[in-house]
Amino acid sequence: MEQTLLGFINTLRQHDVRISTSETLDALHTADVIGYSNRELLRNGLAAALTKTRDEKATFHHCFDLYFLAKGERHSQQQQNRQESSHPQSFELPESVAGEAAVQNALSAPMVQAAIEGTPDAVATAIEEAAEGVSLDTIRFNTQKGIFRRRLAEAAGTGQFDKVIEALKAIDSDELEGPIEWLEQQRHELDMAARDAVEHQLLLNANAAGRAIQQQMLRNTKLSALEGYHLKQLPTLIRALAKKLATRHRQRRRVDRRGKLDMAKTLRRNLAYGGVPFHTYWKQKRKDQPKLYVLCDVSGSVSTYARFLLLFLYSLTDVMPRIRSFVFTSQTYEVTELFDRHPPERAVEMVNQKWGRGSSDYGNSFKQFVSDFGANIDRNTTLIILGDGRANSADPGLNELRELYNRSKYLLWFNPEPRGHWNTGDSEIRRYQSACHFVAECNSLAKLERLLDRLLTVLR
Amino acid sequence: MQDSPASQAVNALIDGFADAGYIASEAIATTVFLAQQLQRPILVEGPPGVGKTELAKATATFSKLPLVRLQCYEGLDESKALYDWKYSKQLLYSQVLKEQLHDILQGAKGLSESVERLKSFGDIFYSDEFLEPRPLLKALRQKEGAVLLIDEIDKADYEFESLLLEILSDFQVSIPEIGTIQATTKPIVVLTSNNTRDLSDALKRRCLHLYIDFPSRALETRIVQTRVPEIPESLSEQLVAFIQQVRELDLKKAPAVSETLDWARALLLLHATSLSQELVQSTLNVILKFEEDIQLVTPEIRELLKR
Repeated sequence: MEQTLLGFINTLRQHDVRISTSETLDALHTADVIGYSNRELLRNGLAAALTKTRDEKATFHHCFDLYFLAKGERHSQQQQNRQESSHPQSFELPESVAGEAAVQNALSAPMVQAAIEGTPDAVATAIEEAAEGVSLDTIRFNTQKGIFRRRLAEAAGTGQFDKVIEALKAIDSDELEGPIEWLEQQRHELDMAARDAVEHQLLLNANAAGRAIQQQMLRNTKLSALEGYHLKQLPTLIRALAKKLATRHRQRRRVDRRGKLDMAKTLRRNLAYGGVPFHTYWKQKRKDQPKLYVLCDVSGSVSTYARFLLLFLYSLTDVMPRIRSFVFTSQTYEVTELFDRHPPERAVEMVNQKWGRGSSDYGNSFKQFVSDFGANIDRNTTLIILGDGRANSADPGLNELRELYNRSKYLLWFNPEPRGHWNTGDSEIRRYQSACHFVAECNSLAKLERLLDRLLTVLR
Repeated sequence: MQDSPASQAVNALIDGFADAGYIASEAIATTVFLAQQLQRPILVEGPPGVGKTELAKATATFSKLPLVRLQCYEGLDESKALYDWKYSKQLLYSQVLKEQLHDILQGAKGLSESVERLKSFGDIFYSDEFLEPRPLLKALRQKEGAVLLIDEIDKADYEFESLLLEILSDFQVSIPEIGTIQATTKPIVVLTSNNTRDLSDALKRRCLHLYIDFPSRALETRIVQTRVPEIPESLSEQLVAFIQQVRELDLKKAPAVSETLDWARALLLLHATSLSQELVQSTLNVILKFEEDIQLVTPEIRELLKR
């Protein structure tokens, strides 16, 4: 039973539930205390010990059904099949043949013996043991099905049946037709059981392995190349990445919370103790909070990138300074309030619906941004501009950008175009480069993650 | 099959909780049972007002143990949660004992001899006498054990979680001046969180995790009938049905169990026997706490009551 439980935990891990060794021990204790007789009790107990978030609980219940129920059901199904089949129900050899040494020898194989004696669950037990022998739980892909099925069936003992059948066929007698058919039926059942076991294990595993590969792929592909189904998955992935970044940068803040001793305050507050400084008070240097402004081009060509940049930034609010966000096509609009009021995913949708049309007019947008918000940009402000720098041969607004560059702490330009396309056609990115602290290419999640990681380090 | 010792124990817990006025689902009872058996803390998560804190109180009532409560907030640190030294008492004693010191040191030659003699008296000032136990230490030192409730852990700082780890896994506290203090009897620890931020994995790993969601209709009806027994049965069913539907709507804050109970009490005071449109309209502010939510629900009342 312990093995079954460990197998179950392995399945959970492959479904992205993070389970540590200590939690595994907890689960084993839980099973000890509760026992295996009451399924609902076991389910609730294991859920408490193994899963630590609401999402994980949902995955847990799904896997529990898949793993334990399926196992039990397959069993009873096989037994039912056997009872309903029209094939000979029992195995009887004529006396004349039973004595032959070759036949007797072949008959003594454990699997054949078990079948003749009708040992209940013999097939299931054999399959389970064989599954361990061929490490069935390492199966990952659909293409491995054939080989695993053959190996499993062999390990479970189809070969033993083959030998008996062979020995009986060699004798060549009409009387033996019934027994041979019975043996073939048994062999077939074993083979089918092996097939079911492989399919089932693949169902448990493949999901996870496939997803891992897919996520890796999603991170490295160009965002614009992703469509429909994959786009829907990105927010989840972004949240996971953001969480990782947040934990990495969280602990580092707050270190410089000491400073000089505030003598006056300390003395005053410790008068009650005869001036002995039991409570100390520190002069805290008030560090001005860094501010982050994001200005995104949401015109057709780059709107996808704007969506994911905003989504990523707002998933990082735990560790990011306060963000003000703006979008532009031909004019600039502030969208901070949308993000304050709605969850990021919804807000991003609304931004796209409302403003995500038309082509970009950098000159006008920058001019407007400077006149409306330029006064707020100071030495504590980091400004991120996302755009492809294609000014459609109109005024690029370089003077305005230079003004922003001079006022801000950092002006970063994220360009979703691959580096090779910069400075071709109507791209003004080289001229913009002269008025930015840093221009970076950001067209995949992996690159975006790296950029934001560096940004967080700088902002501290 | 139904009567394994474990399931008996869990059923006994459910009954015990019911006597303490807390209607527990099987999942809740199983987790509490496991927490007792494995001696692990329970981390309870869920929307506000579903009875997370109440669970700890009921556990205390049921097992007749004192409840030690630590309310978390931003800036909570070890001198408020774990222990502190009684500074003023230390100071007062040292002033008073100054004369005594003089007597003790009489006849000692030179500094080193004086120090030697002082040393032989041990560390009186940093002993149990001057230790001020805060909730966490207090819970560990209860002779018969206790129920320790660490409420709204998500409000505390990230660093505070690390402080808790030693207590949660080994039930002990290390005080540099004294040494390690072990729990006399291991307390039952309940942590609650409203999920305003993610807790660290290290903390989660040490706990059994319990998610309490809004109760099902049947369970909520039972809760109302237990907590407000004077309410007519038909009204309580109607009221729960209404609340359950309101939760389905896209609200800023869905009404929780505590609000259902408040509403039930309010209706009782108004001597209502069944819900009518006017009655609901005039008491809607008991269950909904945002003006937008009230505006959203008001036009739907007639429809909701029909169902």
